[in-house]
Amino acid sequence: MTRRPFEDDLRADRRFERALFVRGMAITVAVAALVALRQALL
Amino acid sequence: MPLLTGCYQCLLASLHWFRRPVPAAEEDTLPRIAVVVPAWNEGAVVGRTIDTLVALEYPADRLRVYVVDDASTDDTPAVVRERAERHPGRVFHLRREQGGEGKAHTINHGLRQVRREGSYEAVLVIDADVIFTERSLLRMARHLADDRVGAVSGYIKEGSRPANYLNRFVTYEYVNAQAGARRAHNVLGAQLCLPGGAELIRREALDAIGGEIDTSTLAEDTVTTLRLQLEGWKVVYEPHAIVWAEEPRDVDGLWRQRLRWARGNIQVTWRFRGIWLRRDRAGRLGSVSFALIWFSVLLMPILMLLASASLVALFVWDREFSVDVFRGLWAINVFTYLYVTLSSFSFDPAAARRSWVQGFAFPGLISLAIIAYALWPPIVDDGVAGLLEDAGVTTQGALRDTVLLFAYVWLSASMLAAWLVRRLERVRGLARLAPALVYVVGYGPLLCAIAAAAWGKQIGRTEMVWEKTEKTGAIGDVA
Repeated sequence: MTRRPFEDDLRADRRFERALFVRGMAITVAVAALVALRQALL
Repeated sequence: MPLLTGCYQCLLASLHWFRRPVPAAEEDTLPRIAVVVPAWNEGAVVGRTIDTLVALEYPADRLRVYVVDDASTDDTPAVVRERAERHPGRVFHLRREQGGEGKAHTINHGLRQVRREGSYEAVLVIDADVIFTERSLLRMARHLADDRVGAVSGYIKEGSRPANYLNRFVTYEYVNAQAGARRAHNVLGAQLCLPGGAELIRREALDAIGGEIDTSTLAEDTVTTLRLQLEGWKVVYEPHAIVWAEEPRDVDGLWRQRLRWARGNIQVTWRFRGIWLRRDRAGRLGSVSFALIWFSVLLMPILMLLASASLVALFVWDREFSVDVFRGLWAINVFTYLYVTLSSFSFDPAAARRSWVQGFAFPGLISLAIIAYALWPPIVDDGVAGLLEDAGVTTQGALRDTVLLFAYVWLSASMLAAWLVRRLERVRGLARLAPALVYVVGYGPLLCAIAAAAWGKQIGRTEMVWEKTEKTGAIGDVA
């Protein structure tokens, strides 16, 4: 039998995915900034 | 192109949050599941697998475990019979007296028996060594509340403990290829492969493809995944359903396992040749995105050879132009490497803590040195040349040309070097050098070398052999 309601899993999983989105966007912006910096220095 | 495709997948994976939430299934609507475990000489691991299956957080009356013993000659039958006696009505021992035909045939034997024996609404096909975490099956099964979903897979993680250097490379690889790429495929609306180690298939969906697993290729899981989707079923990946698996601990074991997978992928490409770039026939699987993702991996060795040959040809034709192209290409390499590596760490921070060194060393130390040279040429042109001149060696520009040509050739020579590492690992007394050499040559080039070998075997029509990966049961961190 399950010891925890499904909703707990769903909430935890959604929280992780939201954090993943935030981290992903931060990495995208950081690497894009590096590309822009290189282009500016060339 | 493969690196840009990698970046594309990382970007898509981070958008996974925007997918429609999973239906919140009620406990009494969970499907009755028949677990089919193919086992050939798995006495060391199958007992623990059964124990974890019966202890899963899943209603006991809705889960039956069928171990298909493929004429094992070790203690597998005794181990399974003992578990069957301990869990009557929940664990069943199905014995094939004549085995050796391979995993897909063994699974099909189990599927036929299961169909005869009882009522079930979904079948879970797993490997004999995988360890499901407590709520992983619940997380997978809840997707079946959506009537359109035909199959679900979980996140298979490398679980060998103690983990050696190669296990840690595989850990990082799986973070990238599963936690990352399969999330991206969810966002694109289809999956290229649900791994056979943890594949939950709805009964009607399995019936729609004939009720059995493909036996004509070495990639039966990919064939099942593609056929289900071509029949109109949705196939999804559940990244929070964690399943631990034991992976090879040496280069030779990895080579044999991956050669089978790579040959299977080549066979699948040919068999499903009518779906690529054909949205009218294959829906989302026929999109440009999936063609790019599939072929950038499949053709990687050929692309590396072409890149090397083109740069060397350019060098002969116009040396300075070749330098510009080289710097441009490797600049793209730097940024894609950074983006893919950092993104992969974010997909699974726990795995990243264990394998961050292998993540950074994935392309190999030589490739990293080339990246550094491409970014900052004075390292060699002034630094190394200066040191040599201080030592009385006059290079007169020859050093620069030598380094340039080496960098151009390394793209493809790294595959040859990886092949040599495998040979060296078999030589008595030199095997201990293999780990250091994998770091130097790179795990990525090692995978490319295996893909190249698969092409060679497939073109040469070498006989297909199902080489089983040896498992010892050394899986830990099950949490």
